[in-house]
Amino acid sequence: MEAFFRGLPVNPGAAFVIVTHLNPEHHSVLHEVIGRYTELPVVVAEDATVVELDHVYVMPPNAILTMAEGILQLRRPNSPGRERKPIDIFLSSLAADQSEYAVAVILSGGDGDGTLGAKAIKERGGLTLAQASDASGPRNPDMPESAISSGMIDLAVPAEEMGEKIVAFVRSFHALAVLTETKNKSEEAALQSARGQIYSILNSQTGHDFSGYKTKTFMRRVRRRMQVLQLGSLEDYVDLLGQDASEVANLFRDLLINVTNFFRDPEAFALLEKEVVPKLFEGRSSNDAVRIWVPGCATGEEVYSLAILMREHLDRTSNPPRVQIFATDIDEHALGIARSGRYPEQLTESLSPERRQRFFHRDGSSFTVTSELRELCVFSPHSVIRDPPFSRMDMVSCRNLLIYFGPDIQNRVMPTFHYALKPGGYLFLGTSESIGHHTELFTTIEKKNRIFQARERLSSPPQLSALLAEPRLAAHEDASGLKRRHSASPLRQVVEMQVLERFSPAHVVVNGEGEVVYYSSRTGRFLEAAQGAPSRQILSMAKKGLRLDLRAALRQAVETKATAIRKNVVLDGETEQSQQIDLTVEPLSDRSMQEPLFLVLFEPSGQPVMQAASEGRAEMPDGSDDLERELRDTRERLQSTIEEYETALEELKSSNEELVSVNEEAQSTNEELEASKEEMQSLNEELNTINTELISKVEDLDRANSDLKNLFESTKIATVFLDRNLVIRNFTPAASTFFHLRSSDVGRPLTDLSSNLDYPDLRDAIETVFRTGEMLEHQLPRDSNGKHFLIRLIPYRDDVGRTGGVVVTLVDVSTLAAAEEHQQVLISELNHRVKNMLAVVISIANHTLESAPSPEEFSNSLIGRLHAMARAYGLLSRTNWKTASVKELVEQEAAAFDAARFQAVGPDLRLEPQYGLPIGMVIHELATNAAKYGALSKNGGTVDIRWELDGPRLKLIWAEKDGPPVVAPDRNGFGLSLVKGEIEYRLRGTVETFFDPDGLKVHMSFDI
Amino acid sequence: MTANVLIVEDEWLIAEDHAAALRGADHRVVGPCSTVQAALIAIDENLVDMALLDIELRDEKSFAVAERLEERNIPFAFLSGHGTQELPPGMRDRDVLSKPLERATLIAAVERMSSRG
Repeated sequence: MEAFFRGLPVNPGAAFVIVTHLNPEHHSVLHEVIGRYTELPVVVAEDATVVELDHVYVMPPNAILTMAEGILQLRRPNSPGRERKPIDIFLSSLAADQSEYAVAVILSGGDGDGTLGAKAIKERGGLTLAQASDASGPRNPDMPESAISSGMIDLAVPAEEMGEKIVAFVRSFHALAVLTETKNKSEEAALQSARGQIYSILNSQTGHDFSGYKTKTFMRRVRRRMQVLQLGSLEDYVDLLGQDASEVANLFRDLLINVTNFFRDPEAFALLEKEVVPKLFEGRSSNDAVRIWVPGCATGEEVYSLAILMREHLDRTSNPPRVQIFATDIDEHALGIARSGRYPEQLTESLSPERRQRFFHRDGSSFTVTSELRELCVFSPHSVIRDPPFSRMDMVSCRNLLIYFGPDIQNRVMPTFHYALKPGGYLFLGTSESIGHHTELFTTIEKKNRIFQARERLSSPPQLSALLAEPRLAAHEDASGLKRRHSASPLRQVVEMQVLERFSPAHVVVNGEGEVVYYSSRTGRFLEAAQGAPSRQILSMAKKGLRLDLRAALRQAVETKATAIRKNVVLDGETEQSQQIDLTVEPLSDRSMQEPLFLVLFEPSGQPVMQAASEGRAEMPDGSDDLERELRDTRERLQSTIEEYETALEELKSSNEELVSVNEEAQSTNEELEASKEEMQSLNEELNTINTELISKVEDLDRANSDLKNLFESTKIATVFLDRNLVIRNFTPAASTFFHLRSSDVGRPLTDLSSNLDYPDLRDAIETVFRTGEMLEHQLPRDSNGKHFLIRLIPYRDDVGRTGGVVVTLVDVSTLAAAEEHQQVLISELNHRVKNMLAVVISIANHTLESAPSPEEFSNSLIGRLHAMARAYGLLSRTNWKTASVKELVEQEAAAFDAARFQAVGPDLRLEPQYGLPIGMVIHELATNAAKYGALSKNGGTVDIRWELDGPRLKLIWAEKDGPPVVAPDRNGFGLSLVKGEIEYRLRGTVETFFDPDGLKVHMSFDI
Repeated sequence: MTANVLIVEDEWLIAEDHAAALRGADHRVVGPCSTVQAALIAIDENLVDMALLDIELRDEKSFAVAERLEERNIPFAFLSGHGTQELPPGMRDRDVLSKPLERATLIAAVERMSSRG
């Protein structure tokens, strides 16, 4: 690129867009680099950039660039990785957008990218250049070489020279505008005459008449050639055409380029589809093969068009035969493109959308043929002129190849095609091509669309070597050579003709194989048409007696390239005369560069001798008679042996040619296989990688499964996994106790199995879970073992959240249930006690009120009693309401008054609440009483409390001392009533009160 | 109307309280009895117009007393600190008065039972 930009003149008057194969990962500073080589402003292309002259635009990495209405359009590629043919894509879109104002420059690059794009540019009339090899590059010549060998490049020059050419091209548009737009009559006339000259030059060299072509189109093509050659005037160009045959060929090729690629000449293809293709398949079954040869397939569009027709027909046929399309070309680069089957979008526009959809994959901005199409085709290198042809073909499609050959080669190629075809096989040519004068080889099926059919082979198959003579591409040399020979003066010619006519011996001219190419007059004596199909083979036509010697002489002449003479050959006539002849075979002069021809002269020598006379010689002595006869017999035997030998030889030759041809086929199949093998290998690599991945995934899976299995087994929770139909998929070992499950039960519905569950609604519950997708819990009633179970039904969700099954889990909640039950009991107890206590408090309040003289008294008494209750409750609650010790009860109450004045003695005895509470209350009452009226009301008074257990009987004695004198009351105060009530009523014990003067004594006893 | 009311209750304080309330309303009290046995004897030996039965006695429930009262067609009401207690079938439609019992409620219940006769 450096060389290109350095060689670019200032103010080129063009806009430059640079498309490269950039790695999408890399950040590219290409535009900065280029900025160093040129004065023109260099920018990175963005979407919707308007293209301006004298600017350079660089495509960024990871993008697809196209152009529409002079505005650049940038897209990111859909598939990861880069677009493989960005250059083809851009060039085809540029060609569609700018037509003849587009220039393609193919520089260094590693693949065939750009070849198809250059083709598009050229078809629309633009200019194409590619970098030819020189000291400065290209570093990577594949891209430019591919383009050059496709024939699509106008100028193959080193990079530094390209700039000048482009600028000249740009400037020439104005100068040559006159070619397409004339201003006045004289210009018009000059143009017409120049045009006429061009038509005639073209016609004489190529045999094609372009005078019927659209004038404007024709002149545009002429103008383009002038631009490429940088000629300023039409006259100069016409002169050049007259002198340079290669330019005529270039102009010719340009004129014949069509825009469409697939299904070129849709009418012809339609006819092919309707008339020819069905006939190809007629009578064919799956054992047969339909074989097609496409020579000169170039980049493959014609081949795939045919393949599409074939595939479409195959789909309509039951029991179809195999289809093989052999596609050949000498251009390896083009074959590479054809093999890959990948075309930029613009070049597929001639396909119908249905066909494109069906037979191609979209791959970014390109379309690639599908494998069902590709597998029908085999691509291989092959030269129609040099290599042996394929054979036993049902159709040969050779379109727009022959026009590039001169008439001489075309002539030679027709028989090759005829050889390749089976009798009745079809030949499909391009619209400007014909079978020439080989009408004996083909019948015309459809003239306009160039469809022909091979006739039966009338003569013996032409020798292949004859067809493979040295190629001659420059047809005009032949013509000029012949012209040269006819420069002798007319008189001499006449004289020579007459002398030859009248006095020369009969002669024929044959080629090296013995085929006659020229007869003189009066050869009838020596040559006779052979039985069977007409043949030009002299040896078949030679009369008896001549054959042997003729063959020998011809062989000698061919090998030695010198004259061979056989004298006195006896010619057996039908009459009684036999004639002796001198046979001369000599190479024809002045044929050094071409196919060697030989002159065969038949000169009668000696007088015709009567056969009788010749036989009369048999009247000589017997011995020689016998000898003569023997000799004649031997001769005849020899003759027939030779004839047999000849036949065998013919057959061998024929077989050999077939083998050679089959070999060609085998070779091309081999090429294809090689290419396939490489594909297979890379596929294999991919598969290996995938396989390794899969193996590691499988290992992960195994491990996960194993973990799961262990989890199942370790858990004590019974779980069963059911699918939609209640079929058991899996279960934990713990579940087998509930449902009597064994491993063979996986796959059976749950309902088939009996269970220990007391849950009649199980089935319905499961249905509900499926329907709602919500978890359901149910507590089972206590079972025969006294256990409680909770059954949980959980929907089994797959990875998208759909309910695919149910997980049934059983959890032992017996302790929970027991705890709950216990709790219920406790709560109930609590309720009862609280209520009871409140009732007691109310009662105490009521009673206290009755005996309280004043509110203060009432309050003190009540609160005192309540506190005593509280203390007793306190003691009991410390042991969670189990027991309280007597001693503690007593001491607690004592402490409320004055612990020092109390003495408590007795065994360590614990009482349940039903006894403890009353005792607490009782002690309190007695102490209160003592405090008010008894020992505790005076200093020095004490209380002595003793208790003992006698069997089930507890005896408790309360004794006051040193108190004030005791007086028995009239009636019991509430306190003593309470004591009596608690002990006697409640505990069904006994209470005895002694109002000793010393102090009150109370004896209590009750059973515990 | 003066009624002879049997009180069956194992808490002395509560029994005395109810007894005081009833006497205050000019009724006569039979008992109070703290056990089923004592209650049954009381029924046999005394004229009983109606009864108040605490369901939970010390070691027993008072349903046996209830049955005897039923046989004699003597109206009665249950007293309970438990709230909704499981009553035996046949007793389900009897009044259940919940502790703690207000005097007014007690008196009203007695009136009710005496009017039913």
